[in-house]
Amino acid sequence: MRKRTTWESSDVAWRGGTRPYDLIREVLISGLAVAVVVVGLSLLFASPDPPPVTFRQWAQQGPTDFLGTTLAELDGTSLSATYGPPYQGTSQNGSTQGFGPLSPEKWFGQTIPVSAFQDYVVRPLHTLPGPNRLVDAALRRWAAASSAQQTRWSDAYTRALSHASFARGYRVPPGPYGPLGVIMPAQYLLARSGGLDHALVANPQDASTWYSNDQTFALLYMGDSGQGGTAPSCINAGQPLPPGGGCWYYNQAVANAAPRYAGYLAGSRWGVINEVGNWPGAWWLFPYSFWYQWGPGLTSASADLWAMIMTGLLTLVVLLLPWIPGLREIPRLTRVYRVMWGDYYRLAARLQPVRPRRPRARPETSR
Amino acid sequence: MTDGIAPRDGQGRPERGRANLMAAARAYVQKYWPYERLLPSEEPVYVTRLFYLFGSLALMSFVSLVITGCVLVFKGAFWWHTSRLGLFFNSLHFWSVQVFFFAIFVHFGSSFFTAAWRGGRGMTWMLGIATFLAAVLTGLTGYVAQSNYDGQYIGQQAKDATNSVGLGYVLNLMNFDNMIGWHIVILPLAVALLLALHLLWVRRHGVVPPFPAEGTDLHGTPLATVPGAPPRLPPAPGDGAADGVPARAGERGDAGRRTS
Repeated sequence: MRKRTTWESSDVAWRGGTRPYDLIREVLISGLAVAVVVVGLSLLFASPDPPPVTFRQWAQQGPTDFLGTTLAELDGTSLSATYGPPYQGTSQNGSTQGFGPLSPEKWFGQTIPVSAFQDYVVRPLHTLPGPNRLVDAALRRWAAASSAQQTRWSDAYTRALSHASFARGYRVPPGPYGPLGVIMPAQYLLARSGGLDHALVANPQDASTWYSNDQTFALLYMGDSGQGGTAPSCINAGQPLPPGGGCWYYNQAVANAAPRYAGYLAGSRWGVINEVGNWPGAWWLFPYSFWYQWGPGLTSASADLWAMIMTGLLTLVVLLLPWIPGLREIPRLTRVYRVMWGDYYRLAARLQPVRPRRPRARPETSR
Repeated sequence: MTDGIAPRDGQGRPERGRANLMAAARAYVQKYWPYERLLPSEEPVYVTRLFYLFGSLALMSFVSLVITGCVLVFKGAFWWHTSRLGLFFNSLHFWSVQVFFFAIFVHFGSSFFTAAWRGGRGMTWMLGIATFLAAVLTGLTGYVAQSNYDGQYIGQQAKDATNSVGLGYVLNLMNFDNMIGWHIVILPLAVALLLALHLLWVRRHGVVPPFPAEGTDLHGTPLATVPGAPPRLPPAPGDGAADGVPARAGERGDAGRRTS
């Protein structure tokens, strides 16, 4: 019986017929094809380049959301203030992704220290020009206050924000806001002036960051908008923007408003594989994004770790596929190769000897 | 090693006890990548279809990515936001990525459905997959390094994934300084290196032969012949050790000019 030589290494090289083939020509033709397609698509469709969003725009278009988020940074309740590793240590009330003992976040701990109050508020406000003893004193008073006192001031200010007016300068009704009565307008004005955008990235108080292009603080701060994207004002694709600019940062992703492009997050959960407008996104990430569509990826607080683990396992399976019984037989069983190598099989059939048929043992019954 | 450059003692005999690494490396390269195999001018008869082209399409898209990427680097990180020519080169880079991954996926599909790992080609398969993985990371860091709203949103969203596996510090998607280094130095080097190894291994073992046609072995040789029938698929001159290339035990025919 013929041995089914399919996976053995004895058949590494082809010993059958060959034909002339110019690999250099193949590569040149491929290069030309790529050039034509790429230049053509670029001329026809260009590429997406939506300008970045800024704190200046945020304070202008969604002042209540900006100020509410800033309050959460001050009292340490925002998403990034309670993120856990790598921004805070595990002991600092941070959330940590993990399945039992499997928690790489915990293993590595705090590697990018972030203190929302210090990094988003105190350091930027220290860049204000001129003598700002009032602001300094307010920041010191806030830092020295008890947690309960901070919560009382913060709650009072949160209530006041719903009555805030921005038409002719920023105003809130008088109330027991403590130092927030100074800190909040100062932070708002710094954001409106554009100064906060720079103070968060290359803080002039710290010469060592003069060359910095590290947007970690800025993007974490923005990501805290709309209670980290969970507020009722956060819309889905197709919904109108809420009045007052609530959940401003996240709503930019789905807003049908220039200079943003509609549909960025259409099909929301597929997230990073999408692109603004109608341009194709990073669709090749689907073997990763797939894991967010079901099971722990939908519901677990460790959805990201789940997706990464499953992507890792999938990668391992694909890497080792040649050695996995069953999976490696799929190509042979599906017989798609008969179509792909149609030329070869037709040639082989033509060149094969016709084997004499054995006489049938019994005559076939007529039907 | 006893060839011409192996170390010799005073009497001209090969020195004992000292391996010559370079001689060993040369012997290895000569064994698996003789010029006929490295730069072949013939391919097996079954290499006829268009799907074979997608490997080189991916390769040339990568070349296009490197060239357009270099132009984008020459003018600095904000050129494509402020100039029409810059945006055009950004578009060339953008569409090259799309063509690159499209070609890779077709190449992956054709390699899968032809079970291209057969016959000792497992390493070729693994190098291909590793190239894809490095390319995916290059793509992700590139999207973030665009320094526009895409970069902001994708970086801020995808950071949770790198954080969850403890990589947030070395691969901080919200830090442009960090991203640009990964995107234009480390990861493209990894892709280029893996791609080069993948291509070398394709050359080393040659394009995988089709599953045997009815009545033939893996090399197209008929298993049973009858008088008057054509002998086999057209043979080519020279075979295996006759070309002066040593064959590994158990791999007779692994070496030779028709192994491309």
